[in-house]
Amino acid sequence: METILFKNEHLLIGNIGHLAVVIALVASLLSTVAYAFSTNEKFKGLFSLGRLFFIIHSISVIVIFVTLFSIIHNHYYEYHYAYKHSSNDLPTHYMISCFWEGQEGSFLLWMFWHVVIGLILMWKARSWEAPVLAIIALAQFVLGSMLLGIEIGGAKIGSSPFILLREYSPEALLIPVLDKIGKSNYLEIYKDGNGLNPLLQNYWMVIHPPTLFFGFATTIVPFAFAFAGLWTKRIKEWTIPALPWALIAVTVLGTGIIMGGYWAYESLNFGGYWAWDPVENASLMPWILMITATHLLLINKSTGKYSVLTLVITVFSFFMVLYATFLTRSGVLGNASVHSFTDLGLSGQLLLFLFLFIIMTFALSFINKRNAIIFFVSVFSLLMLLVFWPFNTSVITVSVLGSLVLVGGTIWFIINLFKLYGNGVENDKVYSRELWMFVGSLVLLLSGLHIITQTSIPVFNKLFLTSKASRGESHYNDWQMVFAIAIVLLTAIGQYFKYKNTPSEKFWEPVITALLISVIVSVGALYLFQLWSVKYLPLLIGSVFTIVANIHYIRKALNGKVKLAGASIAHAGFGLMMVGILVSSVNKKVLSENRSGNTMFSEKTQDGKVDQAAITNNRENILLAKNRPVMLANNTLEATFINAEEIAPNKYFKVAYKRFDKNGKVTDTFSLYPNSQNNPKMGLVINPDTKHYLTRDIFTHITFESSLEKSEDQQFDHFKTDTVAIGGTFVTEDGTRQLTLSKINVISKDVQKLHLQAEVVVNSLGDTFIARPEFISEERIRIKESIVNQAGVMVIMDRIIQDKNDPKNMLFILTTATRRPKIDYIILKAVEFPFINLLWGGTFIMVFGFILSIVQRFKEARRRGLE
Amino acid sequence: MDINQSEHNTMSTETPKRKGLNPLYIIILVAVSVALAIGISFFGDTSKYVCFAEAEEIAKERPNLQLHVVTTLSKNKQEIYNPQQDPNYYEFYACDTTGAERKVIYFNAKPQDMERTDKVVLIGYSRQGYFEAKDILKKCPSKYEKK
Repeated sequence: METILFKNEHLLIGNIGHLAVVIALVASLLSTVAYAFSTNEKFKGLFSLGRLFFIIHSISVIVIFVTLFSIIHNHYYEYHYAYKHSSNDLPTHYMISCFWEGQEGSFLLWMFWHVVIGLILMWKARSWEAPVLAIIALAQFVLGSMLLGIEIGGAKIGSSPFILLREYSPEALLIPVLDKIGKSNYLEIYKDGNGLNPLLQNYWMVIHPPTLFFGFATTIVPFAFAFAGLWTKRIKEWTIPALPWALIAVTVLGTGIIMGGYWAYESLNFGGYWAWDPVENASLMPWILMITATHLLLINKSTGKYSVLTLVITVFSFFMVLYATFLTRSGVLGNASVHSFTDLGLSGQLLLFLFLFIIMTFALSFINKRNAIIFFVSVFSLLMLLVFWPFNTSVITVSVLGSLVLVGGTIWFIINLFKLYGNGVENDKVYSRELWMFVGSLVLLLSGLHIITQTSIPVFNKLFLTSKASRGESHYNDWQMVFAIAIVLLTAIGQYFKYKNTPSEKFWEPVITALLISVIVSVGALYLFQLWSVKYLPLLIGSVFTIVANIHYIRKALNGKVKLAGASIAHAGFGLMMVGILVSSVNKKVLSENRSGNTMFSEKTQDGKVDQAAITNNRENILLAKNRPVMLANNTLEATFINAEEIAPNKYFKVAYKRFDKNGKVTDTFSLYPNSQNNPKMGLVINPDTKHYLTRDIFTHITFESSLEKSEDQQFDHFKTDTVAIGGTFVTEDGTRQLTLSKINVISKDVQKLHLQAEVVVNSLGDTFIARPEFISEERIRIKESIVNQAGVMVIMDRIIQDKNDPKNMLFILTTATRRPKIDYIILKAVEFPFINLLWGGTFIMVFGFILSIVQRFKEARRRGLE
Repeated sequence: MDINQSEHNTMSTETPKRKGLNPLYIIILVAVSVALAIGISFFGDTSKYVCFAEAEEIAKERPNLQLHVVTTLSKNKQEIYNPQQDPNYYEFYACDTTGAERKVIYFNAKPQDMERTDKVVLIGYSRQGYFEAKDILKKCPSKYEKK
């Protein structure tokens, strides 16, 4: 094979990056080993080596980060990553988004956060440092292997972000032009990249992924403490340092999820912030487990109870992060999600990652070291054998075996833990906080179980060759509303219980006061929100109860001490969020609802009638012709399409709105600018625009526009002939345009020449035009047709005849034909979300409460550490 | 006799404890039944991936069950979207995985980029003579490039 010397490539930077990947990988492994051995008194000296390797690893990760970013920033399109995800016209802040658009970049982001967390723990974790950092370093090793991009014996290990375009797709060099300029000059052609998906060109996409990944990354800390607790036999102490980190994970992950929701709401056309899409659920599942773990950690810290459950849920929240990663990155969601991630062929590696951590944790629950090793080696290799099953057996057999191994392992793990902790079944008093927090945790777990099972349907299909599908949003909403009611009620009363036992009157008095206030407030809320449905009443009252009870608690029990009120503030914020979710989704209103009765639907049901059920289905789009106001939402809102303006690369459609009150007075005017981007590589991407009021949002997007129609001039069609007298009215064949022969102008009338011109008023979509067909009779008859482009109508005056009934009267034979009128228009969908600010406001309050709690718990952990 | 005996038995075992039933048992019982309900709904009450023929069969029994059909668009057949007449009517033809072709009606605006897509998942109901799509999940090859 000839060797080509490629010109203008910047190979050094990629080599540095790749070298840094290898160093990071090796250093993380060495750090794991050194730290792990240093937990043993005999090898204490290895401790500083563990630190050293972790620091080397950290530097390498930062080098990888910087290298990849400069490749993107400098437009080195010889690298596949830059070519695929960026382009020349991108501003710097969107180059950051390019960075994590690809899977490799997002793994890198995750590693970066682990490094940050690892360094903080190195500084703060003291006696926990060795085992905790050993785990983090191990996770870094596994994540780092995802960036390796080498093949061993046909198996692909990782996918390198530093792969060259010509290596990734050799066909890049096979373009005919290259024969002329020479393959070595191939970069002359690849001067611009594929670009960033326009949907991701949004400021929320710059900060949402890092926040989400920071949240994912922090879940490893409580896990690592639990793991270290089992490992170093400090099974009671691990919860103290784990608690503040669990709170951080909940806060950051929660913020990340809400940011994603806000992005979806602001820039996607789904018409909402949450659609129960598997990818969205994949981030919610770990959050629900983590918030459960947080509550259990609190019970355990204060009472020492529920140790086993606390440990199990804490480690499972981390497993859930790994599982969610597997779900979104392995391609298994395939047909189930609108969001889609490329399958890099790493499913096997991801499963290995997941099982490695699960089985390792399970193994630690054996008191006897030898048993632990036997358990780990046999179960892990059995699972790996099943994943990469080389024999010819039915998939179902393998899947059943694998599931049995996992379920059996989990049960064994739990039994071991019960033995280890030696606790029996707890026997809590009815009036104790721990009992009701335990109940709350169970409700959260059940809610999580429902989401997890539904989201895992595609996995279930793969394993057991079924073809199930989720029933979608309404199914989720129905189930989750029940859980939400239980959760808000428990959140309202929870804090009024004291740990161990509460005198019943001390509990009931404030609770009943709060409940009474809530019922009164709820009645007011019903009027304010116009939420007249019994179905939603329990959740509304419950949520209001949560808000009221928690505020009451801050005032009465905590004497207004905000510093201590983290939990109550977070709970009140949660209640407000629930009200916001309830009101904005139940009263969500499609303003552009279109029941004009013009329908192209012509299917018949069995008994031959037009299927009315289908006709009255979602008619959510309405046509706005340019400069023609259309009334929406029971004549309370007027929308006018003003113009379309191109500001490259976007095309902005100005829609002017006027709002009216009941008396028809204009109360407000505003304009919205939904836009579209016809991206040559990504296709047409449409972005909505929203008018924010304090009490409602008006969301507008364009679903179609006139320039998207095939532009060639259509032939006239649908010819129809009518015989009319002056003043007579008729319609075109399809009935959409009404015509009136208003008068006949006589241009000349003598023996040689009869020249008549008709004035036909054409009514099309509420617009009137005049067509003037002519009839000329000389030696022979000539006719001049008249075309009204805006109405898409042609009118021909064929003949003039005498009315048989009334000979004095003349009748005119007019032929019409139609084609699509040429007008500028947009197809608009407008939705009103009432009181959505309650959701965002509630989120802010909840996050604020979380932050207060984090501060408080860190102080507490430090105090305990010093004692 | 038997009844008396058993009543007596429970009385005698309960009385000395005087603690009543541990509330935990009731709670766990309730939790387990909810978990069972989730399981039942998982196995019994899901939608399905089907082909058109199966969808038609199921529609006879349960016309209100949403179904998923994985299809390939029939590009050779004329699609209809005439927004000036009806912006909420989009008609096209699609083939399922068995190769069976059906008319599909989507009572909504034509989704963006149908031209760039070939595989779509239709979510909706089988009706007389057509499939009513409530939702169309597109996989644009350009957007989620895979070589």
